[in-house]
Amino acid sequence: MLLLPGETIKHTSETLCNKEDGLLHFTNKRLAWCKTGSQTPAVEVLHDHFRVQRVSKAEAKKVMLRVTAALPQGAPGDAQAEVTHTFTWRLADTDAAVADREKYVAELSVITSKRSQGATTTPSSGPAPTPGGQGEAAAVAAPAATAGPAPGGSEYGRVKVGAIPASAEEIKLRLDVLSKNAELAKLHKSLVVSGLVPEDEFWSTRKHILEMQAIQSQLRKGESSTWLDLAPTTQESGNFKYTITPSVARRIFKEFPQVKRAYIENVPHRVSEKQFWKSFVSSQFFNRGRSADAAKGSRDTIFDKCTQEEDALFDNTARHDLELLNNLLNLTRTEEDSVETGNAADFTMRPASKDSKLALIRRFNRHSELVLQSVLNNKRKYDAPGPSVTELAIKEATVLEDLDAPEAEKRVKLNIQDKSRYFTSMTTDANDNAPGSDAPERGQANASSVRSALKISFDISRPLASCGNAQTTMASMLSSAHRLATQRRPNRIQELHIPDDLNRAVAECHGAGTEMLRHLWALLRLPPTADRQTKSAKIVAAFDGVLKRINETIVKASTAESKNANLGSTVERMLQPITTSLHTGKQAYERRSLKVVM
Amino acid sequence: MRFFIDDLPVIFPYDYVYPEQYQYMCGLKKSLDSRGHAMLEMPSGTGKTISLLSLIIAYQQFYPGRRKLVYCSRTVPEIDKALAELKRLMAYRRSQGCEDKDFLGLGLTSRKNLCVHPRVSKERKGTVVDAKCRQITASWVRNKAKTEGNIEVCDFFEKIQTLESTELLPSGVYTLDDLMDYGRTSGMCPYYLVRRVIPFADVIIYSFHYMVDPKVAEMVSKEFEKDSIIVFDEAHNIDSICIDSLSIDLNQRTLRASTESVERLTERVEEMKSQNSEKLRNEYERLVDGLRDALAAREEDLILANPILPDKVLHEAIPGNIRKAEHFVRFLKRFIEYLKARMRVMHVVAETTPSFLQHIKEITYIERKPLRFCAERLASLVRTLEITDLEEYGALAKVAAFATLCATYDTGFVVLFEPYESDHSTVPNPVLHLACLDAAIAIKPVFQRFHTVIITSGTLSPMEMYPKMLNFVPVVQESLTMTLARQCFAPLVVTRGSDQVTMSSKFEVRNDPAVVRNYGNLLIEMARAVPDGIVAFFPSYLYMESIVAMWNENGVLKDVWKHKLIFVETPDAAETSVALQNYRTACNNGRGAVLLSVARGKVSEGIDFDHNYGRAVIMFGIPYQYTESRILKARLEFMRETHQIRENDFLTFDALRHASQCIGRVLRGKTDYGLMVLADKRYSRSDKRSKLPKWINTCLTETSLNLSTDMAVALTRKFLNLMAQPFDMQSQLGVSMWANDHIVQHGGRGDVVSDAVAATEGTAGIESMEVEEVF
Repeated sequence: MLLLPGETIKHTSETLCNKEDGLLHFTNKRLAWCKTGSQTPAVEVLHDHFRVQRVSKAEAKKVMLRVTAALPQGAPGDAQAEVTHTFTWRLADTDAAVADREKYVAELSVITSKRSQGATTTPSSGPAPTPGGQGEAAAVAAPAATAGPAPGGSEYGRVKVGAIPASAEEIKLRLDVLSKNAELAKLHKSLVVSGLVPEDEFWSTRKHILEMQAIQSQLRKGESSTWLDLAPTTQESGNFKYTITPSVARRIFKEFPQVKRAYIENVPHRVSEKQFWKSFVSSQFFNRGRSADAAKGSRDTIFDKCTQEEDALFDNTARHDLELLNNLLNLTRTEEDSVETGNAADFTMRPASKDSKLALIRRFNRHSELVLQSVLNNKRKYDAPGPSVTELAIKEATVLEDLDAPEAEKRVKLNIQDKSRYFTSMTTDANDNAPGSDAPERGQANASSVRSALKISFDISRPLASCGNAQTTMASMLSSAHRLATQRRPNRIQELHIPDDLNRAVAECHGAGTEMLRHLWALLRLPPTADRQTKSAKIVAAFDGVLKRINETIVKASTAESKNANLGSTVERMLQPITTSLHTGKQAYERRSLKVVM
Repeated sequence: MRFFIDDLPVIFPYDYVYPEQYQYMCGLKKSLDSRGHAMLEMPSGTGKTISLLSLIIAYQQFYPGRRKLVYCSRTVPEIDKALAELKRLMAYRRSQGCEDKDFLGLGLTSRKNLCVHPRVSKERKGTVVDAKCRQITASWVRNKAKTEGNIEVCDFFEKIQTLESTELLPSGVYTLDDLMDYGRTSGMCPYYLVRRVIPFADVIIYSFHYMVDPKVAEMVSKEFEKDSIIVFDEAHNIDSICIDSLSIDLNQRTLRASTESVERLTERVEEMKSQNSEKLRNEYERLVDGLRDALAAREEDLILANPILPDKVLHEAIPGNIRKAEHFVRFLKRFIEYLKARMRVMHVVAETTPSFLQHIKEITYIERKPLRFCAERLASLVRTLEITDLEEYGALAKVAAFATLCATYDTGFVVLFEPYESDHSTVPNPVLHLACLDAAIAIKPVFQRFHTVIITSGTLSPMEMYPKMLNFVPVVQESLTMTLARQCFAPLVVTRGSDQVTMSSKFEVRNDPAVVRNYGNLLIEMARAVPDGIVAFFPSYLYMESIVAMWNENGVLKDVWKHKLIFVETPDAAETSVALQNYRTACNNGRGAVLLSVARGKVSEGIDFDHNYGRAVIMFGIPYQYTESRILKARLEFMRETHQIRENDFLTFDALRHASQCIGRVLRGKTDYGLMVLADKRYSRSDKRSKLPKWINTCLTETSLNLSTDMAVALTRKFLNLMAQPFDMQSQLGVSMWANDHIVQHGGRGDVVSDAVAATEGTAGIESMEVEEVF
């Protein structure tokens, strides 16, 4: 590629762009892509023009990077003046491709973070993600990140949330939060992306969300509890075929340490790997616990030894450290409590000694234990012992809590992340029950549904029958209240005939105003410091932007064409509360700063 | 809270009381007042133990006489729990101003569970601990240690011997752990400590065996006062325990071991004769006097009679032909040889004890009389010979007990010889069973000696069965139902799979692939719908093994693994304990787990699956006993002839008490909830249903009676949904929970004296005068 003066190439990768092969370069000045064979870049994004980058989902098949840049002459923040390029990595190995792409992501993040540091007061130039997919690639936006490959989820634990400028980890956290929480993403889009609130301000009152995300991202998925089930496929010839991949072999080794030992001892110097597995699947060891005699398997010296070892392991009851057991669960204490007396149990209550079913049962227990232990800290094999724990267990097992006068319960607030969906589901319900002109009929339908619901609840909760089904009762009461309300007051919103875009603008104004006020009041409530003072000054200054936006909206409304003649005044009235609040906030700030000055 | 039952102030360590607890206490009080026996059934998990203790302690402390409470429980964890409740109750009573002067409450269990000796306590087997303990605590060992050096004695035991019984233990309540802690800090052996202080204790909690098993009761329980209050908690199984305590199995291994023991005895006798024949001579003279002391004690009503040592024996001197040690050893040898000869027969023989004795007499000229003294004579010899390692003589003691029991009882026993383990096995494994058929024999001394014996459990239905089997007359017999503000348990009878094929554990169909598959599907569906823990019970170990293997092959378990971890009960107690612990961990950490276990197994007795440890319990099939068992057949015949109990009635009763015991384990308290799934066609029949406890039976309605799997799952989801709603505890008040006002409303006497402290002091005099009128 032809370099500009003073330009050095940092990274180069083979990528596809516009369905053509080529090379992507990242230099100290620009991001450039050249078609194969060409020396002049077909795509070129100077660092100054770079706006937003987006990457494909981690689990996506294609590894892609989408870069949005301002056209050289375009005004910042103006969508019309932006151009988007998508690069697809050509490496077959997804992991390698992702690693390669991360280099670019990191470099581009450096650019944005540098810029955002210098530009918090002019938020409109701040980069911001625009979540919401267009095409298969877009999923996660990456507005800023410091240099270095993106850290793994486990490192979130060390993130100090709230630092300014934000650390790379925190930015990643923010992205994760946004990608998961649609409502917040919407707010973020309308406030930060549109430039009303600076990025860091937006997050400064939402630290708890980030911290929660940091904790959540540390949670690892536990081991799958599925039982290793090697099912053969039947071939046309009628033979069985087992497929043992390295991952299956790993699981076998984990499940049966005896097999691992046998493998190490015998492969490859005594038998070939293939032979080893072949004799494994046909061995008695593998086929233990099968009921059909035909499937008992054949004798085999290697695996007979495994069988013996397994039995020895299981028979060795001393392997269980009973000291660690909860006393209430220790069955041996009862067994040792009295001398053995009485006639022996009949044979149906005795374990089949020669049969291998016992081994199968023991394998189950062992497998479950393994799965559990993979989750638990290994040191804490059982619930930690000690007299206090036993005492606690006994208390737990004897005290009837409900007989004590209840203490004030500590309740956890229900955290609904996407409220809109919650209410949508409610409204669909409401719509189903929505009263029409056939209100009396509906009432009857209701009654029958109430009765049918009651009928089932009779079955299961008879003493409650007299109370009826609380849920249905509540629902019918709600719907009748709703009906009354709508009868008295027609659905105004629809009658107002506000165009969608105006509606959105009004919502945005409200959102932005609320957000600003939130910050301001949060600051004002704390004792004043110089730092807070400047911050609140900044926020109050940003009020003007919001007020301007409000005015614009009102102006737009009054000029817009609509069935509603008074649209302008309606919108003005809609925006009145937020305007008033903003003024109140401003006044409070001014009083405060006066006090500080005095 | 504090309320009155008649004139008795009861301190109850909670703010409220369940109505059934109140009624239970009323029933108890009635039987205590009338000094008669009682049978009380109260739903599982409604706080039976605490009601019982609250009332009896109140009774004991309020009325003169201070009747001792002997509380027998089934398992050691249950003893732990009962002791913990007692401790809490006493602390609460103190906080309410009751002094309860010199109150002593204790638990007793085996040496294995109580030993604090640094070396002995490390042993894993109870019998080994017992033997090692005797080696360092037997009287002759200690005597020897006094004269000779370097003989080990147990310091913990020695310390006890230096102290008076009264100064051994300060008053209070001691759980088993407390006892061990006390033993360690004070340097005393907890086991012998308890044995010593039992006569002074107000409450003793131990397992059934210590009261019912003659071998043990002889040692610990025989000196209780006549008006002690004996309680058998979780006593639904008491007849089996009685029967077990008098039944003996002899196999070839036992006989071989006893031959060896006899050889050793011979040597010891020779040895002792050459060294010091005085001891043997003393023994001889003692035996001429016979068991006169024991007789005297019994006639003076000091001790609990021992069914192995019936009155007849006490009147006679030990027969001359076994009085001399060497004669007795030879006598034993002959008897064992006879038994060995019997073992060589290759066909089944069942005979009554008189016919067995007749045969012995014909072959060996051994008379009935010396056989009857066999056990007692052996015990005497072992003492004389100063044998410590009784472990080695266990087999011989068994043979001697066998002889004594055979020779003592003409009825109620059967001698049964089986050459093969089962009908299908080809390798002979001969066993000579002495099977007790009459549960009343073992428990008779208890009913006779004590005024008040209380039999209680969550599942005693049908209640008319027990008085017949145990041969006693209860003055109070009540079955309480559960009052509920919300239906917190849902019994579902699932009779067919989603494909409408009938499900049953009936022997003919239980291995039918369709049944196995449908049972499997039920488990899968439940694992999918129910959160946290599920417990599944099978009628027998054999069936569980085979069905688990089949499920493994047809992929049922693969689906279950997807939803939950699987744990299975094994024959080994330690292994099962660990599995249980893991099961609980899985329930706690959200994985969820299924526990597969056996209805008559170790897990079904005494392990609770309350709250998240058991949101559903599935009973696959009806846990009938193996009806082809000859011992069972003999018992059924006996019961039909002597008690007029029909075979089927008993079998169903027995199966259903175990089933209801299993399903009852899911509930504790009324805020808990759980599903009870009974998966067998036969549960929907009224003859089966009527044998379920009343509190479960009343909740079985037409709609939950004949379900297919999919219907059951739908009901399950609905139930769980309902239970997940927040439950206002206050809505229970007055309905399923009473405060003082409600007791008054229901015609009882609430706490009229507002100042509880004043009541104990000020009114004591007046109240005791009232008492005199009562008596």
